[in-house]
Amino acid sequence: MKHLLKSYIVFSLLVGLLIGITAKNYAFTVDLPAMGDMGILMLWKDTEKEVKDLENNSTNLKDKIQQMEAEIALDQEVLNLLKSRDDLKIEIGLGSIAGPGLIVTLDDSPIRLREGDDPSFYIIHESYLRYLINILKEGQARGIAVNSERIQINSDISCVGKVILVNGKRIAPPYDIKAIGDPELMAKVLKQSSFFRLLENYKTLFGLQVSLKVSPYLELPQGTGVIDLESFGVAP
Amino acid sequence: MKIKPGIWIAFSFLIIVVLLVLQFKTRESLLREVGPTSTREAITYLRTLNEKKESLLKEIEKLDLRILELNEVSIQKEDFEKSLNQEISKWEALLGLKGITGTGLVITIIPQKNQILSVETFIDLVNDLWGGGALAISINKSRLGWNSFLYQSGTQLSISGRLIDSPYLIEVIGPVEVLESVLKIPGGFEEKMLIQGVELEMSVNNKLIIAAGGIQ
Repeated sequence: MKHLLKSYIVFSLLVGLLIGITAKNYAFTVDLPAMGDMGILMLWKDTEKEVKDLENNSTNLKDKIQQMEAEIALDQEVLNLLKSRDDLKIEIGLGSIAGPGLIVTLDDSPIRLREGDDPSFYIIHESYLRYLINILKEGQARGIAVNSERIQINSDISCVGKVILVNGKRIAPPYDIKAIGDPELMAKVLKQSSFFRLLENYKTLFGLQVSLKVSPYLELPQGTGVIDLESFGVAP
Repeated sequence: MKIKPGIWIAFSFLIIVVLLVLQFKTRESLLREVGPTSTREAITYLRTLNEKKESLLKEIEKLDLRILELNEVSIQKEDFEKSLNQEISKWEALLGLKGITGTGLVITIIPQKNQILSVETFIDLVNDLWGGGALAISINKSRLGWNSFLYQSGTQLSISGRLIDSPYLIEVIGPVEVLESVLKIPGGFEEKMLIQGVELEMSVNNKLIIAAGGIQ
């Protein structure tokens, strides 16, 4: 019986040690949810999948409606109206667009941080994307997307911890800001801007990855953000 | 055959260890997918996802209705044209080609004498407002369109080349409660302005009108 008690104590200690070491490793490497918060992560993943499925469903329905409308529109007058509507939606960011453009690629620094280094200089912040988009608009961009997320009239770019959200969706580095328009004009305006010059300084000092690439043909997807047309009125 | 109690205990521990390993492995793979984040951040993101889910569900409901309408054999050309014209009018209002009305928030930003607010302050504010569900925004009666850009011109702010002076009057149409909460979150716009000593006034207007403009 004594033997049994001893082995019980040894096993308990071993298991306790195992749990302790694992928990300590997790706590010190990154700020992670505790074990009890697994539910949140599972829910997060499930909801993300649900949103993606709903987005696909919505896109399919929109395509179906467009097809049905085209079938109904037998005369030129209605076809013209449909075209005007679709052109407006492209400007808003709800329709896909293609053409020549510019790709600005940003990524975190690959440099390993030393003690005392400020990590905020080595990563791409969500505000960088906002400021670059503002400059690209100054360069007369006709359509912009970040990775696969189209920038609509009402898009917002935010962050949750270290994760950047565009239109409420997570995007991962490297960040490709694709802009359709006159590539030379956009590149010129970018290079002249104080913010882009600051980024280039960060590239030299902290190893942030910043590059510009002209593309003869870019395709931007339609936006997935929802705009409720019934929540406002048109001023007379 | 009688099994020794020690074997039972060893077996129980083995199960516990297997369970622990499984739990950590699942967690590890989940975290690899969602990226390192804290519980609070995970909840915030979850809330954003749920809001998007809700709005998508509403949109799908409307799209389904539209399909039903289009399926009606009796659909008349006149009706179709009328609904298309109404829709076009709404898109034009959103783009800034037409004025827009609705409930909104009026924000007045009053910097101290000779205080300069950076262009980034306004870019971040506009971003926060879009994030809060804004449908139209104007700064000192200059409507922001899709391609409007903000620029620092010396000590002055410019919207697509048009100079704007302080105090700044921001008018925004959208869900006022959400808009207000977005600005008032800890570390948000209101707090940043207070720290800088900038005076901020906010009021709700149930019949706000933002005029057309903003397209280059």
